[in-house]
Amino acid sequence: MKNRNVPSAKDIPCPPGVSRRSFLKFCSAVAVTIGLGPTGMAEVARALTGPKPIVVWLNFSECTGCTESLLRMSNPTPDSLILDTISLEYHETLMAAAGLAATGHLSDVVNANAGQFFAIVEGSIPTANNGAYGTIGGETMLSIAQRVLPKAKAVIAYGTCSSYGGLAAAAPNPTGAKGVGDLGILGSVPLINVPGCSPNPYNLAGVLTTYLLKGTLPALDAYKRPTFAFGRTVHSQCPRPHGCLEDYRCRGKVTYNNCPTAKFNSGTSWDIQAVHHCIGCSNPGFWDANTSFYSSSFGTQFASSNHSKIQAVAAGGD
Amino acid sequence: MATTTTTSTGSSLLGGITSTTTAAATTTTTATTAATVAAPGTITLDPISRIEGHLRIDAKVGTAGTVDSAWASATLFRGIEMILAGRDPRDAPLITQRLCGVCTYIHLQASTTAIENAMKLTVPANAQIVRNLLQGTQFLHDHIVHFYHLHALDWVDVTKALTANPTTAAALALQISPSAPTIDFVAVQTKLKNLVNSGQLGPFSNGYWGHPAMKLSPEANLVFVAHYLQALAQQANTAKMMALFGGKNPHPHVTIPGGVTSGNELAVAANITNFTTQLTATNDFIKNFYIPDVVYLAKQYPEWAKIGGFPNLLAFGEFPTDKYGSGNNFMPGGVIMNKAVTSVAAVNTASITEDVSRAWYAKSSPLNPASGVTSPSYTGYNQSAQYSWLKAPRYQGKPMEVGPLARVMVAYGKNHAQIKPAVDSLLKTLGLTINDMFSVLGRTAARAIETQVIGTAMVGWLNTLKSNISAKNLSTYASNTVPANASGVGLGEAPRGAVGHWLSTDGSSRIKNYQMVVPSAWNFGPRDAQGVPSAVEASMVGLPIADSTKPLEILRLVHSFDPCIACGVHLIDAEGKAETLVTVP
Repeated sequence: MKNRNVPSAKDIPCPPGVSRRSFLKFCSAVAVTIGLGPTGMAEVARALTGPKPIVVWLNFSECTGCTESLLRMSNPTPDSLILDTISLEYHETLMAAAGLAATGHLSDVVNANAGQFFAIVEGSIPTANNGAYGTIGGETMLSIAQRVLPKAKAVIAYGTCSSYGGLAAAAPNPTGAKGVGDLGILGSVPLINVPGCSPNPYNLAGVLTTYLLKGTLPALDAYKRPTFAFGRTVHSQCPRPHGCLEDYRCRGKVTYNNCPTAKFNSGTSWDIQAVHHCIGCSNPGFWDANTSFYSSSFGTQFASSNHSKIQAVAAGGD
Repeated sequence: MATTTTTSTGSSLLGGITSTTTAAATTTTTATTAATVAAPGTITLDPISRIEGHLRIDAKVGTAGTVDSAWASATLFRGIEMILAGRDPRDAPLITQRLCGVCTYIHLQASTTAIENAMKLTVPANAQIVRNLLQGTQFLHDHIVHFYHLHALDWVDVTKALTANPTTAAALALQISPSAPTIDFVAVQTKLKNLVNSGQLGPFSNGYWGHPAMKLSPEANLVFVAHYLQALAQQANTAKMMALFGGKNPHPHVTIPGGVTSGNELAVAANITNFTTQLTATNDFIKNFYIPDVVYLAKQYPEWAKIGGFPNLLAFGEFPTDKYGSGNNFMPGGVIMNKAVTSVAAVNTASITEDVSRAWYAKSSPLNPASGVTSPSYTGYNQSAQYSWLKAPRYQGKPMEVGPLARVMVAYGKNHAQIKPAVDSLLKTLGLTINDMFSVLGRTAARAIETQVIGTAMVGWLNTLKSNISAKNLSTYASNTVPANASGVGLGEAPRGAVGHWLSTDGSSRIKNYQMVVPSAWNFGPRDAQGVPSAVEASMVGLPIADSTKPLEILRLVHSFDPCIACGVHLIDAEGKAETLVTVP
């Protein structure tokens, strides 16, 4: 994201202790992600330098890949998000506190800020056997979800597991794993799904920023996904850098996500750039739908006859 | 079940955020008044934070103020293996990859190599190099994050950094590492003060601040807070290496039975250049920050070289130097029993069994994973019966420690050309002996040593790849036809220890049986049928506890193993059919 044409950069607020250049790059990237365009940078910056919203992050039946994806933001560095922009009051992977000092703090924050905090959920919720397949501090994850989530200002399901159940919910779903929406516990509390395995942290930042900017949810589709990120299919945005991979079972035509444009690791790459087709990881039920992930012809694209293409690229010194 | 109230007093500087916490959970804790030695009682620490996954630790403190016995319990069960049954084996790498988003590359590779082992396939040399570079990236990234973001807050009191003199801190930083780039310590302290003044400490809320076992000066604390932030930025850049050759991180889709997908991207000169740039920056960070910081902490906390060791070590080995299965690994495999570093035995997978006597599975005799039978049976938490979703793997019937210390000591015992001098040099600097490596400090030091050695080796691997590309040797893929009625094993290493995948196919080339033995099952598993505790449970015996309400020492020991729990459950029977869940409420 280029920001060299922003005339009023010096007037744009920046959190103390943060690299201004890095912060402005971040604001610009978020502005583009949520559809404001590069000129929306100042607006985003103002939203991000206001009072810090309280966020609690709940790790349920998960692999921590969603947390890892969040930490891969590099414009700005992740600390600008988790220390300066939001107040991340509970996150088991990152927080200093453990045991009662941690769970007690969660209760304090939730009770003192009922209706005011954002809850971000990573992982599905095991519901079989009264939730016995997942406990934290002796309390089932199901009970924690029931206790905490209805008190939130909004719930963001980050990743495919919390959005739709994900891998743990794949057939035969031995733990009765469910996504947040399927628990039916939120009442009038809004839910935003930001699926993906792994999800894109800029899509999460986009949701939070929209809230901070407008005080409302971004526009959502029928699956409660923000349309700024999930409004178009992967295929429709795909530059097809290695030719269309549909023959090898690419799901790009039926998968809605902005991977081709947002990419991952701060715009470094994405699956299809590494010549692996899309497996539809932001779709509900993708682990069960039309598997195998590979066609019988898969592999022919790497056969020696195609090496001429590779050599051509190499010779071109791309 | 009692509801217990504990008060976290915090530092006086943080009066505004001192809070009384009420246990929301039905956890029992014996609260004692703060003292240098804890009164006898039982400590339950759940959740253990700053780890991957969900872990509960219980410790019984005796009259000496030290731990008499301990129990480790994995509190989440996902049943992922069940979905593997009957599927196309080529899907298994993508599915097992989701065992863990931290070890995001490990299971992708172990599953792939298990399939290739069943295929009796050797992948092209470039594919092996790319895999080693992806795996190397995983190690560098993971170890940096572990030290700075998961482990450091056990040794660093963030609140004390508020009173540091930034000028003195800058001088100290220069003394710790003369070659490190300068940091604006005023800005770091300002950032911290803003956090505190806002009343919202975020991830630093309610840590065991002001604990008597925290020994760093205010300036040293400020230096480490600055490096915590520095490392947070560095790890995001380090992970880009995986994205350059693998599409993204976490969860790259690149390693497939037969090779790697990203051959085309390797031929893009900019990708090689960017990989080189990020590798150089990462190696600089390791040299300028990670290694000197570990040395400095070791000097401040020398007593931890005498605490928390375990005598039996196991490594499967990683980074094949020619091809998988040849046994030639840059980090070699091996077995060390009873601290006998000079007599490293070869690994025999037939000696591995899994004991389920104290785990939530139906009773069965210990079995080798190649013929593992598993049937979950949840009976509630009971320390004298079953208390974990982890099985208890054993080698020749003995509990083993896996991880960086095991790899480094095996390599040391085998006179590894880079590891041995690095260990000897560190021991000399710290005035320690090789026996002191069997400790909390030893684990943390071993992790740092192998990070530097692997990072340096990656430069050589990358150069070989560049030469191959220049010579138009671009093959990165062989074939991926999985045979029927075949079986294979994929052995390797996660940053936190030995990983094994065992796979067999049926007459239709679908998955018949799939078993995994993962690092945290070795380290954090429960007791076995003989009542013998696993590595962590045993290492905790004798651990001094100053204050039962703030069991910082437990975090130090547990974190030194780098727990990663999500992978540690099994659920598939020998026929590959889903077991009926047995529930005993």
